[in-house]
Amino acid sequence: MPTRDELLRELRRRVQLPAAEHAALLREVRGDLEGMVALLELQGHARAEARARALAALAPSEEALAALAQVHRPLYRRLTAGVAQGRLRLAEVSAVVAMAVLAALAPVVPLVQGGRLPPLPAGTLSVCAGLLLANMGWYAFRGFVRRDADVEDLERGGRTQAGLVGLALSAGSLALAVHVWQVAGAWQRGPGSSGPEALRLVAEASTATAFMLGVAILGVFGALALLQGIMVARDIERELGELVESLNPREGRR
Amino acid sequence: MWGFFAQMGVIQWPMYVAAIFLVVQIARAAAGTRQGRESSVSTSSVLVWGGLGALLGILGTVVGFSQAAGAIAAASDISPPVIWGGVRVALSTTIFGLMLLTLAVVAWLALQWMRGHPKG
Repeated sequence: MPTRDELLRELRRRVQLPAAEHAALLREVRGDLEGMVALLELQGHARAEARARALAALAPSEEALAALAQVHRPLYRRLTAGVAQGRLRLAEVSAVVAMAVLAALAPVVPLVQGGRLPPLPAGTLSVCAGLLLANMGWYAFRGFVRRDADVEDLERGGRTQAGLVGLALSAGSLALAVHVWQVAGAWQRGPGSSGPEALRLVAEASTATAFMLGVAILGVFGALALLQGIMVARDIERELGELVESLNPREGRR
Repeated sequence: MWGFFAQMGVIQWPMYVAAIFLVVQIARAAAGTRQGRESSVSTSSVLVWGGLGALLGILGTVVGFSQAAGAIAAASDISPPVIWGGVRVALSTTIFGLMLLTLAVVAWLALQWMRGHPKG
């Protein structure tokens, strides 16, 4: 007897739809099925026979499934249906990366030009912020626009997000420590620092630390959003599995 | 380069041990992932060794600052070059520890990517 997961995989193979639309479709089919089973039972059929007859009558053909999938396909996939997958993927990744790089550089460039943020921590944290924004942007695009991110994809995105937050904190701290170490070396060899110069170093270190914590907090918010998406996706997958099991032709014969 | 490591004091030895374990664990986790035998415990232990390296580094810096402050007070020499020299020495263990932690995080991200994109 096929398991729920096998039925789910088979259904996914035959009907390429986002999980939410899939569940809505199956809810409709189950409603029709229950109505027909009740009617057949009233006509005197045994429950198992009524169920088998209803399933046979309502089971959609391959053509009907293909037509249903076409109607419910997400707008983005309908608009890009004629584009080669390789080129489309390249364009999608490039767009997400470009937006992330611009968003990461926007606050950094004026701070570096104003001398408030040293270049080494600024460059390191810009890279980390860009990676975080690119990860968040990619999974938001897949979840809301392309609508093809399942629970496993979102969990992978969440783990990557957590890792990138850690990278921002560790690499940012390292860059700041190296900057202070280099400045201390220059002051050790030279005439030593004056009060204003030392205060300037404290101000730079404070700005770099604040920027690093800001990047980390942004990353944590992104991880929380992904976590929310994972919980919603898990609920839909669970409902989808229950619906598929309830529509399993062999269930009536148990 | 060797001077940078030599000035780290006694804390450098447990940091070298953490570094060796980190590199070995990265190699083991990567080999296991390539062969499809990945284990989340083995991947996570990379982060544990990196975190240990960072903590040892911070410990070394705190101890270093404490010793430098004592030495400066005892010698009654508080000229800025002496102070900044002490800061530089104390920071070296933090820098090494953070290098280990950053390496661990980058390796962990790479291992996660390998798990999501298996060969073949």
